[in-house]
Amino acid sequence: MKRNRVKRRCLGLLLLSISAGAAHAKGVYQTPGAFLQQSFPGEVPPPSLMWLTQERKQVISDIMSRNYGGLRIRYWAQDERTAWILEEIGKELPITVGIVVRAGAIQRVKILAFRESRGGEVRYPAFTDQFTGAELNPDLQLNRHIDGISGATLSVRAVKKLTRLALYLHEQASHAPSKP
Amino acid sequence: MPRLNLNTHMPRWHRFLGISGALFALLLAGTGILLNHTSDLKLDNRYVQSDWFLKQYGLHVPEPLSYPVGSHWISQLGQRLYLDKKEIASDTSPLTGALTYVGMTVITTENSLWLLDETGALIEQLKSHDSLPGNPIDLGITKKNELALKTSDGWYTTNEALYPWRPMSGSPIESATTGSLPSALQQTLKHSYLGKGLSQERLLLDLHTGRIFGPLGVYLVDLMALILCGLAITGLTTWFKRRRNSSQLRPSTERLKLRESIK
Repeated sequence: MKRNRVKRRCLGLLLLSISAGAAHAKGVYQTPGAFLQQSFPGEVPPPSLMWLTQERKQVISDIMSRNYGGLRIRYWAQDERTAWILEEIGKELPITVGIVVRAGAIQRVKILAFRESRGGEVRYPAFTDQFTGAELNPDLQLNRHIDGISGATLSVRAVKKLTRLALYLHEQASHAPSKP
Repeated sequence: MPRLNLNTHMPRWHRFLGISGALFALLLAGTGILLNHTSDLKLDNRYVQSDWFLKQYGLHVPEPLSYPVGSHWISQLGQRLYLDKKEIASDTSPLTGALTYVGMTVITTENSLWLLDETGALIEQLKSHDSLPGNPIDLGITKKNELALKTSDGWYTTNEALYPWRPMSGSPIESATTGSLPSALQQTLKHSYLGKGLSQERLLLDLHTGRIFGPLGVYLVDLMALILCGLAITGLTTWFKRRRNSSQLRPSTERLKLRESIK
């Protein structure tokens, strides 16, 4: 009886520490260099530059719901694959996300750095794996539903925006790839 | 125990309170009159320029760090970055260099590199943790007209695509150099940094209530209020006593005259 009570308390403490750990989840989970090496086995291609025309800036602005600062975006491309390292503010601080797109569909999403004290659950594969295979609709939305995470609404929203952005930019890069 | 002679002490107290509180009374009256006419004098739309007063409110303008870049200036005040008088970024780490390179303005802070076009629009921002060989310490141009970046590991060079970064031996022929901002631009940046700053109305209110000197100032004003109350009380008491004394004196004079007349 006493042993069961001790076990229950230990389990409770463990769950509490896990949830506390998830809530306070800021950190760098993978460097951009490591992400690129993982995304391009062999040799990482040199970065390419996509210049943002007015039309592209307008579409990006629609996706991100804000003006995008910058006139060019850096990306890595090989065969049908492109890799993007993008940032978006969750609640107050930027989340760095690495996204690989292949043939117009998300191949991989990886949270590279999370800087806020709450909402870090987005880094878990249980969330990011939902994006694998997702494509962009003509209305610039993902063609599938992504389950949210309670307490991480803004982080989820930020990651969804970035995946939509990566799919759009991949499409642009495929039509007219820029020179490095 | 000798009886307290209020006729002697009250006027003395009145004099003492009046002299000691005169300066405060003038300050209270002066600030009060001005505050009564805030709208007419537009005191809420006029701002304090005195560094001393601004410092009391913690409104301190840091010294700018500036780099001349062609005909422009890149400056940093605190964590704000300016291209001439236009704020281009806030919450930046310390500025480490700025120069012109192939028609672009290149700016480095301790954790980023910024590329601006000729209009000052942001082309790209690279962070030291992903796209730079390290944290930028200095900037330069090599004799081959390549961009040079100094990190704790030494100098690296690159082209306008900012890739790849190659270790460089030696030093660049031209380095980013700080300069002294023209005073007019410095004043503009100072006002921009302060924003609307401290209104004259706010300053007068805080002088009137003593809050400008913190809790001690508030207590001093409370003391001043008590002094003014004391002035009123001692003044009224003195006046009343004198009035009563003069009325008591008048009937006895009349009695004397009456006696004289009877005689």
